[in-house]
Amino acid sequence: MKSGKGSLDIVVGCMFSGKTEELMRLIRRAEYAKQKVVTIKHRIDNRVDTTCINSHTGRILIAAAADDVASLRAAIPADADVVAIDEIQFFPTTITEVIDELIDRGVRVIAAGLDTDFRGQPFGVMPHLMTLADHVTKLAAICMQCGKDARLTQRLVNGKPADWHDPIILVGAEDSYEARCRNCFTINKPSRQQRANT
Amino acid sequence: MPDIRETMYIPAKKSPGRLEVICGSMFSGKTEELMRRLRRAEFAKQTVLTIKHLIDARAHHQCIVSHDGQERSAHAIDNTPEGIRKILTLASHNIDVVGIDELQFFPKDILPILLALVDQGKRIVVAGLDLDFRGEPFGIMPTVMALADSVTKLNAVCGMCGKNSHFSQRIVNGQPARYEDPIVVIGAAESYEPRCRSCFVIEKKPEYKAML
Repeated sequence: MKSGKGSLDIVVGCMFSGKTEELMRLIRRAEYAKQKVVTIKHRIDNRVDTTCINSHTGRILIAAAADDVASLRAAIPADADVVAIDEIQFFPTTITEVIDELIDRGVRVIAAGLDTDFRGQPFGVMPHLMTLADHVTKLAAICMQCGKDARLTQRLVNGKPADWHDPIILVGAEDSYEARCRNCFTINKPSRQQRANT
Repeated sequence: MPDIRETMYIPAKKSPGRLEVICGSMFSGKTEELMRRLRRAEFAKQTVLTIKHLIDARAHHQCIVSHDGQERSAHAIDNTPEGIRKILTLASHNIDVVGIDELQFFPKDILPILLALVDQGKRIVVAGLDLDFRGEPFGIMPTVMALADSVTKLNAVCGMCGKNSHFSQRIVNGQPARYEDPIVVIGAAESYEPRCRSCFVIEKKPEYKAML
């Protein structure tokens, strides 16, 4: 197994597109082959009770805080064959160094994350990871307004589309999310002029 | 026969547009895949606009050419703001599908243009290198991949070991290129070779912190 370099497979898409299910399928596949899988999840995601990453062996591993890539390194044992990372968009950009090291060690890295934020803009380190990856799987959800394929995540605050200037990361706050297609997605994107002024 | 679409055309706002990205290393068949998708659209009587970057001087200025010799006439666009805006004019109301080759050479000013065309309900298919010769993300490609509806990553065959490759190894006088070399050097088989992760050689490891 550990001959040569590893690889990076990445699963992206909007919310409700089944990214975590796909990641779990890949994890289970590796476990059937008796490979040592380490599953990592970002601590910021506190929805553990409802959508915990849970392979059939029930192994859950919570990585340390986002600003500390060292704790992520520490969480990965030297004999891991496969490292699976969920919600990878929450990690800082320095995670690319860790992934590079793992690939050099011959580890197969599989990761899932949001490709765009609630404003429809690229999410953090995700674009970078997509170029580095061997395989990119882009999943679509179904638009909760019209039923077409959806690839954007609409944030709603009290039932209304969120404001462009809202913070990008808001887990478990007084808001909700919907998968939407390009037509039904609503955001008050400022013009280039307005953005230049602020 | 008169073109029925001239009179029948209904602005396509009803269905959302699409942005499709084809990426991979050199010699992975990106341009052939782009041509295949565009030809497929033409069989369905959709109107297709093909665009290439003016920098790519390997071919005749009015064509995109894949390494296997297929040709397709294309509008050559340069990096100036006027050049970029010309895409909007070219992709006027009766164009259904826009194909762009070598997208990695375009500046980020092309992003709002691509998104505007998608908002008009058009299907945009772009092809480009995801990584440069140093194995680092190439220009606007990462952003376009995040914004796309679909991403197709193609592999070439490693020139050293025959495994699937996804890096473009630049070779200068038979030696791997140096990290400090310029990113854009147009060439073909004599200066580039597809390589897998194990066989890819770059003198200096990338400094991710400095790059990000």
